[in-house]
Amino acid sequence: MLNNIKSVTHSLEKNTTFSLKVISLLLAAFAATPLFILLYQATTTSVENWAWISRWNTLIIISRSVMLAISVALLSCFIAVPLAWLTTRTDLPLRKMWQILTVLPLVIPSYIGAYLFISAIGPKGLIFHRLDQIMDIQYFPNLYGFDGCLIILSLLNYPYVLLTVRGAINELDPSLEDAAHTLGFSKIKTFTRITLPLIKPAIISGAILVALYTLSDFGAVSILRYKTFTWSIFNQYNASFNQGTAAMLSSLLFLVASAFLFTEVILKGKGDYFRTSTGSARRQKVTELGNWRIPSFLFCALIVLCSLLIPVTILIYWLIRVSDTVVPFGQLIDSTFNSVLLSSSTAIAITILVIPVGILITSHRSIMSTWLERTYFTSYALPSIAVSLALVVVGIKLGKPIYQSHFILITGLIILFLPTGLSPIKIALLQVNPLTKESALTLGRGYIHTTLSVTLPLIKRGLGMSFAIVFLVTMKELPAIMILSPLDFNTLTMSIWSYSTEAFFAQASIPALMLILISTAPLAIIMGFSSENLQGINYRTSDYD
Amino acid sequence: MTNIMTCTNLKKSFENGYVAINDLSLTLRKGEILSILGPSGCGKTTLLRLIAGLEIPNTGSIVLNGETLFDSKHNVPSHKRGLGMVFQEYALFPHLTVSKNILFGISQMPEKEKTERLAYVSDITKINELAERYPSELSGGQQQRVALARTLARNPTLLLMDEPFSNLDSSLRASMRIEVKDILKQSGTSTVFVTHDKEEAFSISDRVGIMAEGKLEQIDPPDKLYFWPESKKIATLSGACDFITGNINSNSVSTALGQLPLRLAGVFENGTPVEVAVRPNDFSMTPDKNGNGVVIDKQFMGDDTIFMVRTTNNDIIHCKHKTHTTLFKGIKVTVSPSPYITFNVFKQ
Repeated sequence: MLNNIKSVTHSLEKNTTFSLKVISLLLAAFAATPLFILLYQATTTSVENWAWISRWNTLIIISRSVMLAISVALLSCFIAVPLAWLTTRTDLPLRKMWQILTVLPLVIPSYIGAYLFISAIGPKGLIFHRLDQIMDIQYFPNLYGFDGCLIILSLLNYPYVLLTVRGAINELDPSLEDAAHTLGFSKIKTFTRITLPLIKPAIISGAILVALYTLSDFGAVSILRYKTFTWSIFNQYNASFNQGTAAMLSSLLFLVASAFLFTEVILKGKGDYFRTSTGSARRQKVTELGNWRIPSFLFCALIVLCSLLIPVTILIYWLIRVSDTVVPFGQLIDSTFNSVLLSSSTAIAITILVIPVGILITSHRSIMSTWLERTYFTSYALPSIAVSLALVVVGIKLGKPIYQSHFILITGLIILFLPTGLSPIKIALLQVNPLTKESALTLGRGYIHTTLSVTLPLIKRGLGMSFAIVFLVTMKELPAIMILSPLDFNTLTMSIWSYSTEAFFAQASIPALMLILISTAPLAIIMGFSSENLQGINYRTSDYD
Repeated sequence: MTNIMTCTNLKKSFENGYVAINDLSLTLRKGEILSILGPSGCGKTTLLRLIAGLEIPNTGSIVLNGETLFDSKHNVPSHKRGLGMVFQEYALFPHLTVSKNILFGISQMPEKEKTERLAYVSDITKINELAERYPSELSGGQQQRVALARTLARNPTLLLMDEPFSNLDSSLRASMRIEVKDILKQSGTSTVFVTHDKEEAFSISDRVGIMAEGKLEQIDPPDKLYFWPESKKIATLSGACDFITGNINSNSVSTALGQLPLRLAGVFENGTPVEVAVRPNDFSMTPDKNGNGVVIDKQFMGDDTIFMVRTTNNDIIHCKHKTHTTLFKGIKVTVSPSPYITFNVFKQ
């Protein structure tokens, strides 16, 4: 398999490798900074802080966060795995439509989801407010806390599992299932003994991703008043301005997140899960659902209703209500412009930066590149709130031009989303047949020229994917922007946040809609790329057995 | 010999209208190795998949060992057909070790029997040392053996092999061919073997069926196919072949290359214009300035050299010859039939 092959180290000019290494090392230094600052602060903090952190309360906070992360990950799997299979391998009615609709909840940030949820069924929300007026009902279901967080975060995060599992199902070698049939295994047994174990790594990856997002989620848990890690960290920082305890909590959170990442490695275990052999890929067979067609259809409809239709309907309700209130349109245009500018500059910066890094870690395998890669991925385990707080410390130390400047905001976002942008590039580069590059080199092209004229065009899909994903996550990001933004810098996220925490639901709906609409553009790009993959466009043209 | 499998009037067309199998009938004898030989896209893999139950025929019937697997009323699902299939890409389960791959298909057997079967098939396929490896840690030849062992472990009534050697390099292919033939004969497995490689089909099989455009054109032992092709198409598909024009003249045919003896006399009336199938081994050449042909090209192959010769009739034929250095491009030669060679003719 390609992944197992250590690409031939090209005898390229020494200075090219050298500059690749310099860029990558600088970036790694940036990426590792927040962690070091947090660890430094945590270990040099005062005795009172140690006392504070070693209370029972801390344990409760940890267990709340961990329980929520695990529950959301599990529920997401229960939603996403059947959806992935139904939308790729069956004769589900309107399959193509469900393929698109089931991914769309990705455009709704969790804090918008939570705010819409509360604004609809919370105590002063549209439903119970009406019921109260009409029937004098004073009862409100308690949607705050664990249950609300579980529902909202699962409904909005399951697409991460869906996308990875869908990818894995499309990569499956259909002859394996054929082989199992000829070896005497029925359809159901084949699914449990062959298909499920083969997509297990994808399920685990998706689930861990969702768990990490849940651990680092700040918006939804705050709105739903569930006191998790991120809530406590922010509270320590904001209310008590106690950086010591905030840093200690952040370090603890890092440990918990690392434990999740470590679990992924253990659960995945041994075995090469990719196509073991060559041969032309036969098209995946379609399973006929028979009597299950209607229940399957209803299942898809229910998920799309809850995760997409209901939030959008509530949003539209509030939009209609906006006419009652004064809307500061100037501010809206201003914040939209800022959001788009911020997201696109972060996305451009990351897409450019990951090219040399990607080349270094894919085609110049060494101990150094392995460690560099791990360093970039630390921010996966470091929630944005922790990264932001660490950068605030740097900002304060460095004083005026840096503190609360655009520079530190962009730096923070780059550190945060570097791994997100690196993954698609890495996959694209691994799929480029090293021979393509070598043949260009033997045709007399220089290394840099080869990279520009051969490698880059081949990975342009990966670059586009990188840009779109980073744009999307930056658009949705809350804590980093809230903590690191310059004082007069207003974005959509911050408008939504300040309105919705003050329960100005109608006012919050305009920037929320704007944000969702803008976010559909990068998501469309992402889905466009992955649907092309569905049709079997593949860079892997040769085998290395 | 008793028949083990009979396919009758099978037909399969796909949703896009492409007819892969067109009214095909076939019988397989017990213990026989039958090859289906044909160019890619002729429907040979589809035929195997129909027999295996991985695709459903439009019409026709499949009977295996007295049991109807498929007809207008029956369709035994793939996993209950009791046959084995070795796939072109081996299809080893990447998440299972070699021994678990082999045990996969015999998990219902009692423990003792399972161990025995595992030991037996590992033995005959010579993979004893590989038991704990994962498929990704095996070479192509090893994967091939494991795939065969996994299928044979179930002691299938019928073994289907889909181009099993096409992913191996040519030297390994030749030796695996002999090995697999020995294994199949040793275990007495009835086999349908699909390939596009003539040499492979001829060397491994008891009978070869030539397939083109979804139909079985002729099904016979390899030597009969080669020497008694029923049509021009089969003559071409069963080996390198050129056609020259001529006229029937009692026991022989008159051509630009002289009187050529007929393989089967009395089929056509005297004077009938025919086409004569000539194979590269059928002639010898000597340089001669009054000869009946001229060398227009030559291709050195190592043991032999292949000469392209244009006859006085402007027919072009290929001649295989041991001589490489004495004959050149542009030289005139006399082409004469080798001793004991007879020729097949086809109506023009």
